[in-house]
Formats: sequence, structure tokens, C-alpha cells
Amino acid sequence: MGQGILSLVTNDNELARLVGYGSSARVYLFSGRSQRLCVLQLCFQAKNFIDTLVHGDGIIFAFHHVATGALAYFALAPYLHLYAPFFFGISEISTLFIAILVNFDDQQGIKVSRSLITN
Amino acid sequence: MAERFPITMTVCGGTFAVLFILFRVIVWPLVGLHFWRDGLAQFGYSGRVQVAGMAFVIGGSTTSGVAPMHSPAVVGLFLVVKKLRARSRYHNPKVKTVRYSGLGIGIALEFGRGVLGVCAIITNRRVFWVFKYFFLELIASVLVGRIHMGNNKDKGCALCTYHLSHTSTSISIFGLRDFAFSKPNATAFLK
Repeated sequence: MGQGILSLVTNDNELARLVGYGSSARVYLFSGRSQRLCVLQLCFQAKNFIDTLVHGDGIIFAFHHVATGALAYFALAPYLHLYAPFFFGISEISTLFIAILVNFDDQQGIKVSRSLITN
Repeated sequence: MAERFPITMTVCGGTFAVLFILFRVIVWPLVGLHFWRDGLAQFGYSGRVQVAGMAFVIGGSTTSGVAPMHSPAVVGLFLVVKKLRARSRYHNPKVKTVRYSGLGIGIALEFGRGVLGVCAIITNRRVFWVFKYFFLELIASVLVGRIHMGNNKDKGCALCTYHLSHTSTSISIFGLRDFAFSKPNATAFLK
């Protein structure tokens, strides 16, 4: 079922081909698009790590970004490229909305003057 | 911003909640089940062990998400895996070492997390919490990479599978728990 979901949402012929292969191919075969996704994830986590340090989010988030970045790096071997679209792509969709949502926070969000609100 | 654009905030918050639950709580374990099976299939097929392994991962993740101290559940699952391991060794002694080495390291990491959890509760020191939730997982990542990129792909495969499914599921459950119960500001728009 999980692989069916992957093949539907990725629309990637290269990955869809891997779904029908044996487990060894699904684990170790190379996919150019997944490789690109892993590189993007690695860069994204590096950026997040810097943000964490600059804005003082705490050591827990720093460890989280290092651990996730390490996973993206090791996936370049290649490893589990069939599953990269979900774990490094689809699952991050919700992050987009939480990133927007934080703008509404009273302390860390965008400040809007009272005059704009009343108008 | 919240006073100026209340509907936008509600829509963004609701969309986040739906996507989070859909992808990170419901679909994640389903996909995780498949790559867990793919990983263990590298050592030879054993349906019972694969199911037990997945039960271990999901069970450990769920209990660690719901309660900080989950060692009793881990011990129970460990005994199940150990029993299945003994049976499988009887049937196929040649593959037993490689097949279970990754799972064994995973169990050791899980016990390490449990011990650190106990230390964290007793001493209430933040350093134990940090080590419990992230340091061991970072070690697992490094081990996976080192072993996987070396000659022994089997060990790396099992470790990475363990690490991905456990860490990710655990973080998802933690996120949901915090989202629902521990952060009133985050759920304000749902009320």
C-alpha cells in the first residue's frame, strides 16, 4: 500500500519502475530525482541548523537538524531512494503551513500596528 | 497578524493539522512498514520476524511518544523478538547472525534510550533528555552510514531501517502529543 501511494504521488517513471522490482532493487538502486531530493534536504537541514543557532531555538532542535541532515547525507550512497519522495518531500508539506502559521504568533510573528487593524 | 487575518490563520492552522495527521501519523507507519520489510528481506525472508520487528518499532515509538518511560513495553517486545529469533535459528542457522545483528543493535539503542529516560526522570536534568531523544539517534545515523558505505550492507540496511522508522514515528507522535495537549497556543484556532 505504501509503495502504491508513492508511485501515485511521485509521478516519477523511474521510481514507479522500482516498485515492481525486488526488495534489493528498492533498497539500493539509484534514482536521479531522489538523489536531487536528498541533496536539497541536506541543504535545507544545514540552513535550518544555522537558523536554529542564530535565533536560539535550543540545542534539541540543533540535534534534530543534524540527525536529519545526516540521514539525507547517508541516503546519497544511494540508499532507499524509492522512499525518499515521501520522507524527504511529501511529509514536509505540513511544514509549509506551520511556517506560515508562526507569522501569526504574538511574540515571534509579524507585528501589525493597531491603526491597520482598526482600519 | 492574528487579529488582522483571523481566517487566514485558522485556514493555515487547520490545513497544518490535517496534513500533519494524514502524512506523519497515518501514512508514515504504512510506508515505514514497507521499507522495514525491504530492509529485512535483504537477509532472507522470515515473515514472523519481520512482523515482530515492525511491532517492536511501532510499539517502542508509540510508548515513547505517550510516556517517557517505556522500558516495560520494550522489554516485552524484546522477549517476543528473542523467542522468534530462537525459532528461526533452529530452522536456518546460517543466516541468523547477519539477519539479527541490525535488530540487536536497534534493541541496544532502545535500551539505552530507556536508561537515559530513567536518569532524566530521577535527576530532572535536561542533558539526559537531549541524549535520550537525539544523541542515540545521531549515533545510529553515523553507524548506519559507516556500515552501509562499507562492505556490510546488511547491517547498515537494518540499522537505517530501524533508525528511520523509529525516529520518525517517535517524533511524529511527540509532535502530535505536543500539538494536542501541551501547547494551548497551537490549538487555540481549533477551539
